[in-house]
Amino acid sequence: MSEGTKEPDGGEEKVVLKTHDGQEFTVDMATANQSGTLKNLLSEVGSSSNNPQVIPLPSSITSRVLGKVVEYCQRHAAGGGRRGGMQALEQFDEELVELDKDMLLDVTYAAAFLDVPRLLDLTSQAVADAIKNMSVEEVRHYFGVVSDFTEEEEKVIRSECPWAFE
Amino acid sequence: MGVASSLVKFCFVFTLLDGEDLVSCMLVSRQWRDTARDDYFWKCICAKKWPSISKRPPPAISYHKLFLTFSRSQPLQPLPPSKLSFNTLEFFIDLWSEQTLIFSEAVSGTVLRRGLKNPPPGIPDALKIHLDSTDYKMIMQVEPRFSIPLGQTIVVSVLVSRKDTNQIARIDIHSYLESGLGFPCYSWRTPLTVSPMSLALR
Repeated sequence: MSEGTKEPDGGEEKVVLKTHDGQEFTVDMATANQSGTLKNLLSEVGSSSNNPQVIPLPSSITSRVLGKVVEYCQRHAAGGGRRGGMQALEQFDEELVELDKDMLLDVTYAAAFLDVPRLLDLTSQAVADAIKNMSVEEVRHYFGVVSDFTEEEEKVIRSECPWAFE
Repeated sequence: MGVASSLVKFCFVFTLLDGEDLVSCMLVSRQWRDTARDDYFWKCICAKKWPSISKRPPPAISYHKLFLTFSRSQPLQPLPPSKLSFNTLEFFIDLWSEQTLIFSEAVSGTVLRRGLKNPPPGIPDALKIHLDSTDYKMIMQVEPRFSIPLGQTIVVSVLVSRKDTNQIARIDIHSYLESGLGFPCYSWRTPLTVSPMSLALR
C-alpha cells in the first residue's frame, strides 16, 4: 500500500525507532512529528542524520504494529499534496484500518501511546464499529476478557436498563 | 500480546459508542463496569442523542441516568394537575432531516408565544388554519430560517426541564408528526408547536 518515502539522504534529520523485538525503523522528522509523543521527546533531545536518536518502544508495540503506524505517519507527513490528493489519502486511511482484530487493537493502543490523534480516531472508530450491536458475550470474546461478576452484580446492571437486552 | 485485555487503553473507543453498546460494555467485567460508569462517556452519548442538552450546564441527574430514563418512550402515566408555567420551563429541541442535524437549541419557555401574528405569505390554507386555531399551541420563530422539503424523513427530539425542581421530561411527538401539518414545505421561519397537554413531568 505504501509507496514509501525514499528521499535522498541529504543530511536530513532522522530518528530511529527500535521495537522490543529488535527491529529498527529509520524515519525522517516530518514522519516522527506526526506522533505527539515522539515530537515532544525529540524537541528535548534533538536528532541528526549522522547521529540519529534511537528511541526504544514498549514490548506491546511489535515491529508489525509499528510498521503500520510508520506507514500511516509517512503517508500523512507527505499530506494530500501527493499524487491523488486528499481523496487518495482518505482511501489510504480507509484501507489502513482493514485489519484483523488483534492487529486493530494493537494499532489502536500504539496510536494512543504514540499520540497520533487521527490514527487513533480511525482505529477507535473501527473498533467501535466492530463491537456495535454485539452481545455482552461477544464483546467479552472480542477483547478476550473473562467476566468476574457475581450473578447479583450482573442483575443490578441489567435491571437499570432492561430494554437494552430485549 | 496481551494488549487486548487491558481496557484502560481503549477508553477512547467508549466515547464513540451508542448507549446500548456502552451498556453491553458495562456487563463485560467489573473493571469495564467501573470504567464505563464515568459520566463523561454518557455525556458524549447524550450530546449525540440530544445535541441541545450540551448548551446548558449539566442536568441535576447524571448523564447516565438521563440516558437510561429517556432513551426510550415511557409508558403513559396519569397527568398531575397542571401548576406549570412556561416561565419555569426550558426545552431542548433537536431536529434531524435525513440524519443531518438541522436545528438544535435550548429554548427558554418564555420565548414561546401563542399564535403567529404575521403569518408569512404563501403558506397553505390548512397550515394557516392550524396556526390560527386556539388549541394549546405555542410558537417560536427560528433564526436562521431553514426549510424542510416534502417527503424527507424528520426526526424530532424534545426534552423539557423545570427550572424550579430540575426535573426533566421527554416529550413524545409521534402523533404530531403523523398529522402532516407540523412541518410544511415552506422556507420561512418554521413554527415549532408544542402542546403542553402532552407534558408528563417525572
